[in-house]
Amino acid sequence: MTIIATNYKEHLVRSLTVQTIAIFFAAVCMLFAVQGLHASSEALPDSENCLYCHRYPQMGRYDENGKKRIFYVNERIFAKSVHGKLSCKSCHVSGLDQIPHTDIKKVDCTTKCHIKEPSTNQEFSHANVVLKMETSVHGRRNKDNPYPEDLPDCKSCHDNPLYATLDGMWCDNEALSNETLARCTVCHVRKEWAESFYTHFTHRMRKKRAQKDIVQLCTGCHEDREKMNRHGLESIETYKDTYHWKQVKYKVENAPDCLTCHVPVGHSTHEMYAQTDPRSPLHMNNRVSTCSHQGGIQVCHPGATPEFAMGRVHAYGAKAELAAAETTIKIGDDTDKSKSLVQIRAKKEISDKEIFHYEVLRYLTLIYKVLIGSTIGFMCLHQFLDYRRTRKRMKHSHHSSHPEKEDKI
Amino acid sequence: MNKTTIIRIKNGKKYFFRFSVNQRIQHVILATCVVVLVLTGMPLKFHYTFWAQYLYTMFGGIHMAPIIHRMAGVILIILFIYHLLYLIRTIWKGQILPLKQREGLSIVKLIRLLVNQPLIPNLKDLRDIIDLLKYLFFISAERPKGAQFTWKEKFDYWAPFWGIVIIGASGAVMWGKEIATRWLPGEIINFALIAHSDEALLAALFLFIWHWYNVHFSTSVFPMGTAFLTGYLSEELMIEEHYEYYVEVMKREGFEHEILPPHGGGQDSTNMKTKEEVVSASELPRIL
Repeated sequence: MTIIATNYKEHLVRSLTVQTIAIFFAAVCMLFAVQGLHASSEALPDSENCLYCHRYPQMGRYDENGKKRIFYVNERIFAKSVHGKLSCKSCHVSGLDQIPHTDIKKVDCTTKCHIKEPSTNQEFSHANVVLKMETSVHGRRNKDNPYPEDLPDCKSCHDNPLYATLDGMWCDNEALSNETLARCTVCHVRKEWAESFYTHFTHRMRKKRAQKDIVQLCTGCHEDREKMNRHGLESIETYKDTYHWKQVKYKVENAPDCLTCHVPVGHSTHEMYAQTDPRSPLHMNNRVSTCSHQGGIQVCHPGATPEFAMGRVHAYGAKAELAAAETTIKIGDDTDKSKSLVQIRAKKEISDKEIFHYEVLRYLTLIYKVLIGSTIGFMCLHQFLDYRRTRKRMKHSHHSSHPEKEDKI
Repeated sequence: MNKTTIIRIKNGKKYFFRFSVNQRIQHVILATCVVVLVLTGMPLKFHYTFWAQYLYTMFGGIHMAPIIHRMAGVILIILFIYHLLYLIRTIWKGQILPLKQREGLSIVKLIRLLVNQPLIPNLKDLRDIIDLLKYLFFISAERPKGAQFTWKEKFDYWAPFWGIVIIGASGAVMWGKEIATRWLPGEIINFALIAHSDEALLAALFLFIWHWYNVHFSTSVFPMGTAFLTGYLSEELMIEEHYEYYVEVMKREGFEHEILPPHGGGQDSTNMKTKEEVVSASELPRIL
């Protein structure tokens, strides 16, 4: 869904256009309603009749903030999506009875959605996983977090699951998936059920996103310096200097993205913790295992030593810089009030040894900058002067038999 | 080993010995490895540029290029070790042993001998640089009279010498990072990355801007210097770059009466024509 923020005037004009087009489309679509119904006969019967309106692609409006909202639902894609088995009202629980809808609440993922969860035979809800997420490092239940609005909710990462169609075990190879499915349908006679069960199962057997997309997803917040500083964190762009990222970028299969180390095999993205927490795979006690074998399933650096695991994948970022600055220039003694959270945390977390390493790295970079700059500058200057001098000399030798007499000072 | 001809005469022109076959082969291996290393390494350092992907794909992308890179690196390190042994052997057999037989060996003599090696920077280089500046800024009309190896060539020699040590060591650390961190702190990998890639950038720029210009693209050599293939340098370039050595060699080889004046500084203006001749590629010697 594209959401475009526009100013007020623009949105008035646009909403008028949208309305006109919507009405026109509605009229046209009415004419072909019969054919339309035929085409959608495979999809779930729309018992609530929501698609009566929401089937039209132009359906939408600008909200109070000037954001463009699209309320179109493609029923075929929806039927094949993760939530394709649910009725609209399972998630959109209130405010639907009145048309046009006025009092719609945002979808709450912890809602019970009247589908029986087969292991407990109780109504299914995402409440479990939401609770886990809420108490993890990304969760809003961390009471001491001063900026809860920055923290992600379900949709920050599951940004458009509705339209992500489910694939089978064999990726996009339909023939293979169909072959497997054919075995299911020998016993499970209802083909749609078998298909949905199969996709539900196989969907969880593999990663949904490419490594690059995962990096993009995480960096969406974690490369936002201001946002990170508010939470006492540092921007993670130093990841992009690593060979890890270069492998991701050049599309190596199984290349290490953010989750490979931060959520290794056996961990869940919904349960990430600060690296000081013993449950974190990056806690000092767990690092060697995370780098080396991750419990024997994913083997990356089998020979990893504790020193290797202590090495910095993210090199040194803003915190080390702040901590190093603090040791050299004393800013306002120890009155922590004037300092930002990241400054306070930098002082607390970065050890003297790390500051030393940071300084070494900084001077190393600086030395090379100066060395490259001066050497190349000197060389270019020399070549230029040499070229100019030779040109001059050649000119003289062509024009006069006494070359360069006038040059001599 | 046969005695090398110092001055060869072909079609009435003199060519001066510069590099032995062994040295030329060493140089070709070095050059090939360095070019391959630069081409397979830079797309990683500059992964965010548009050309990086195309260049990397040419070398088989991330699946193949790192293997090629490491192979070239290993060859280069082997060459470096060979070169060190070659150096020691040459000096030992060619200079230290004769000295020992002649007048006996002492530490002072040995140090003096090593310091006086033709590729060791000395005061003459400093004088040459000052003279060059005078020449470039039109204070003097004469180029500095270079010895067997000018300061530019000493630069050409010591820069990769130093570079191979740094880049080789840091490359080895990154290659065997799990082994290296058994003895070294984990941060060494971060340092190695900076040292490896920045030193490599310096080396590559040095190669293209300095070395290639001086030996191929400068106005007196353009379009291509051939000494690295033939091992011999033409008389014009000898006069231009190594005048002091040129006079020395001419005297030693018995051509004393044929010595030409230095470029730009000669009083005899009739000689100017030959001096200013630019060697064209077709005239280049085929001595190999």
